[in-house]
Amino acid sequence: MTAESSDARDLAVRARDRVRFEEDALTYADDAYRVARRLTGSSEAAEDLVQDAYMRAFRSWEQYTPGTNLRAWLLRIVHNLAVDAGRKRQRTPQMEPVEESDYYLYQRMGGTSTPEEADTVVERLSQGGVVSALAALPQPYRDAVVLVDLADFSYQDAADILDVPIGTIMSRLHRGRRMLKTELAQTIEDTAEAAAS
Amino acid sequence: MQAYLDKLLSEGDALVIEQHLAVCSECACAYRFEVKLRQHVKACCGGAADQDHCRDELLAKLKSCCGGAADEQPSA
Repeated sequence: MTAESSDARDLAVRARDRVRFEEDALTYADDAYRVARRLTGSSEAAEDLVQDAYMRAFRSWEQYTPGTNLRAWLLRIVHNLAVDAGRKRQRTPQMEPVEESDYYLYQRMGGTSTPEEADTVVERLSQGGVVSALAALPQPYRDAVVLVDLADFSYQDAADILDVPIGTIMSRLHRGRRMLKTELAQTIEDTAEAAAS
Repeated sequence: MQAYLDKLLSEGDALVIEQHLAVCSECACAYRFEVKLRQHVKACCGGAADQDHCRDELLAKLKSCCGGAADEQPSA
């Protein structure tokens, strides 16, 4: 085989691999959008994020190792771009919220005398308050809550996306949920104080 | 409770929890609150799961980046 025909063959193989990579990556577009929507909170921002992520993925396709978890590789790009965008927007360093017990919010909201009361008690948490409380969490804990509790990824999938051990995800999720409840309790107090003044 | 809600417990341990929730109203109330809280947070922040699909226009844009076209476009 001549050098020229060898180069041509290599180019053909590379082109074939690229096409296959792109086809496989596109099958995860809905997953990418699902993550992006939870991380950005907006459909429009999510579409921009997905498009940016795919552009980056297609440009750096040769950095992906065939046979490994392409879905996690791609969603990691989505996540990293969202983090970068968040850092640009954030002006002040995030303080780590206080972390109370699992029952802290339940007790602060007065508990319930019957299980059915939980529905109305929980509804007292406004959407704005919940969104703000989640946004107040430090990035690592917020990501765990977003991926597992909001986007319904498994612990393993979330660990693959964030490239951390599964034990780290479980720990961050547990602490993130506690921090979220502490933040929610604070929003209720703030609302009550504002109403009283 | 978190482990039970996350379905991390063994079958035997989960059964113990279920049996306890059936007879302890205080724990049953706290459990129901936790379930509803998770649903509420998800609804407030997550949006409907049936909206988790790329629009055709977005898919078309992604496909237009295939075949080396992404290399020619400005970086994000």
